[in-house]
Amino acid sequence: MLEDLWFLRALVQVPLGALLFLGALWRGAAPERLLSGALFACLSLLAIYNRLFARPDLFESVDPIYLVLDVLLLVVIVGVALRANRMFPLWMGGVQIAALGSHLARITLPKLNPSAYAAMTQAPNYMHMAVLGLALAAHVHREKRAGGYPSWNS
Amino acid sequence: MVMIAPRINGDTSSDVAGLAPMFASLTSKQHEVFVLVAENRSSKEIAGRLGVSESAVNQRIEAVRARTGFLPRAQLARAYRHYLSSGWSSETGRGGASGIGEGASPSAGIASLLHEGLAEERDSSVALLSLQPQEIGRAVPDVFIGSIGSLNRLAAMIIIAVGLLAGAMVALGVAQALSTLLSLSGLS
Repeated sequence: MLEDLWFLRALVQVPLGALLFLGALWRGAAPERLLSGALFACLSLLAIYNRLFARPDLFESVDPIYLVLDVLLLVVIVGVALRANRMFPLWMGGVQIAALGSHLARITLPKLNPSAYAAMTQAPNYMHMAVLGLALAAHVHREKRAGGYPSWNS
Repeated sequence: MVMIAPRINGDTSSDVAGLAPMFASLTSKQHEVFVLVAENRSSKEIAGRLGVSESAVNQRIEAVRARTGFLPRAQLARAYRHYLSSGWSSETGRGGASGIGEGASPSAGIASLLHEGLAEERDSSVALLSLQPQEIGRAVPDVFIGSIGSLNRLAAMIIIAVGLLAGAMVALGVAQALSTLLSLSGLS
């Protein structure tokens, strides 16, 4: 059952990210577009990496590709979070810091169950998608209610 | 009509630091357009009345919206109506009938609107006029603005991360306790 869910997760993750990105391109402003684009790029690269270099012991140790992509995503999110006239990048930043914490846990806790580590690395992606979806809806609602507003704090 | 005047015509500069000075600094062409915007006329109607293109009208409106942090048109129209009624425009000699071009009608509708007892409009416009232009359209709390805002944003992200990790640990603890209980009771 869990394995089926895990397999299903891999199937829906990238299309969900693509949907969010398209939604952001259609109705979002610069912060929504930037962050959904970065997330989609990250998910796509991970999917390609997993397809090409799949290995059974992936979560037995820290995977450098996962780590580098998580760090890059954090840099983009923090860059946007510091300047955007939005609250949601702060939530995404918090989630991404927690995601990096999972790698730290893998390094420092040799007995960490690989499944727990896998869940800790994958769950933030879904949280990002939930936050982005809500943020996009809030942005559209606000624009309808009160017109345009700045994307960035001057 | 008189309710907003004391606030705008106050002695201190902070009292007039809202939208009123910005309205006073509009060009005569922008005033022409805004008198009609204040009557809730569409860009097309305004263009027809002033004999200019619709895009020129939109350009003038957007230029003013940009200066107010992209305040919605309807709110700007309300604020402009109160600006006209406040006495500020007659003091500075800008706006209203004095700013309107020849051939365009002075806005008779404004007076009637102001006398129609739009109390809620008046209240919201008073609040708008007391705002600094850069405060309008802000989607983040004040604590995240300014020189210390970036530090506060970083701190917020770290707090969220710590909260998430703590929440996850609590959830794991509960799950573990539950599974222990279930295995003890022989339900699993």
